[in-house]
Amino acid sequence: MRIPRKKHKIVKPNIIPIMDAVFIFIFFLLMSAQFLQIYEIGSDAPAVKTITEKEEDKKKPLNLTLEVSKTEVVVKTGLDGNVFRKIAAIDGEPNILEINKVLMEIKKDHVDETSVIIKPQNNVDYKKIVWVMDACREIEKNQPTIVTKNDKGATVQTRKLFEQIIFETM
Amino acid sequence: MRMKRFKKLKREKEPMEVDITSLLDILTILLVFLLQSYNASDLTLDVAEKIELPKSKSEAYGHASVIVQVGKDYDLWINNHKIGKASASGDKIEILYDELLKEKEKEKKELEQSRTVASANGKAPEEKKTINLVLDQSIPYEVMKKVMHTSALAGYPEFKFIVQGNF
Repeated sequence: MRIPRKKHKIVKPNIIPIMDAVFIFIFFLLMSAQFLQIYEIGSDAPAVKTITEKEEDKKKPLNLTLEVSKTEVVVKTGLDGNVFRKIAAIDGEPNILEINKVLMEIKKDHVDETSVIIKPQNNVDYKKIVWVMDACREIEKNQPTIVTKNDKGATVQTRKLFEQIIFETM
Repeated sequence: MRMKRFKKLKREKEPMEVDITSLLDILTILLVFLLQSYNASDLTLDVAEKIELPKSKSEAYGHASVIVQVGKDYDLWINNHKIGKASASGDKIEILYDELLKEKEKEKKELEQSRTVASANGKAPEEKKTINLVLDQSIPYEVMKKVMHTSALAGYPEFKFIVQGNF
């Protein structure tokens, strides 16, 4: 007598609900997808500041200014506008690496300062101004982090340079 | 004989199964791709024609606000509506100034309407002073300066330069 064999039915999981969820998820992501990576660089119009007696006792402001032209970038510091460095352009384009290095040098001595004034000439292209803004805001990736002491004597590590960009308007 | 016919009928009524393994593969890959390009920013931007954005290392997401676009030929757009051209002379672009003032008025009215609801919650809505500037990369600083100056006069002194990612 033959013993009847039980046929083991293969149990298949029901993935229909998972597929419904995935379809809806994909639809949502498709609507919110951005195929052009868009970001922003912030800047404020220059504001007039009233100097009070108390503020006169404080350390003199750095007043870091970058005068951008087609042939060079002039880095000036101090209220007198002393020329710190002149950086010549390479093939008509600003030398971003050199600008970054000079700003790193200034940042080491003024780690608490965060603003920079940019004064481009009228014929400088917007593209080059954006490159200069990038050089002002952060240390290049291949450069080491700045480690220095702030005015209060505390050790500070930072990769940020001068993030508050101010354009000199009329 | 009957048993055989019965078994045959029973076999014929079994539903046809569709193999969707390959479809799931496609969906998984599509999901991964879309997750990678997901945008957390609330800024929706339709870049106007003849505008090529400069590349930047910035990684800050944009925020929704008034959008002013200036093309290669100095064509001006506010919130995707073309308003004219940026003039070569003068410190202020009059058409841009007038349109920005209209936008400001619209915002003020919306603010007044939402103020009653917000004051009940204890939070007063703030007036927006931010403006998104979408400029073609070849625009000279002279035009950029006029756009910034006009925007600041119209009550938008906080500029956000919209750029393209470069990494």
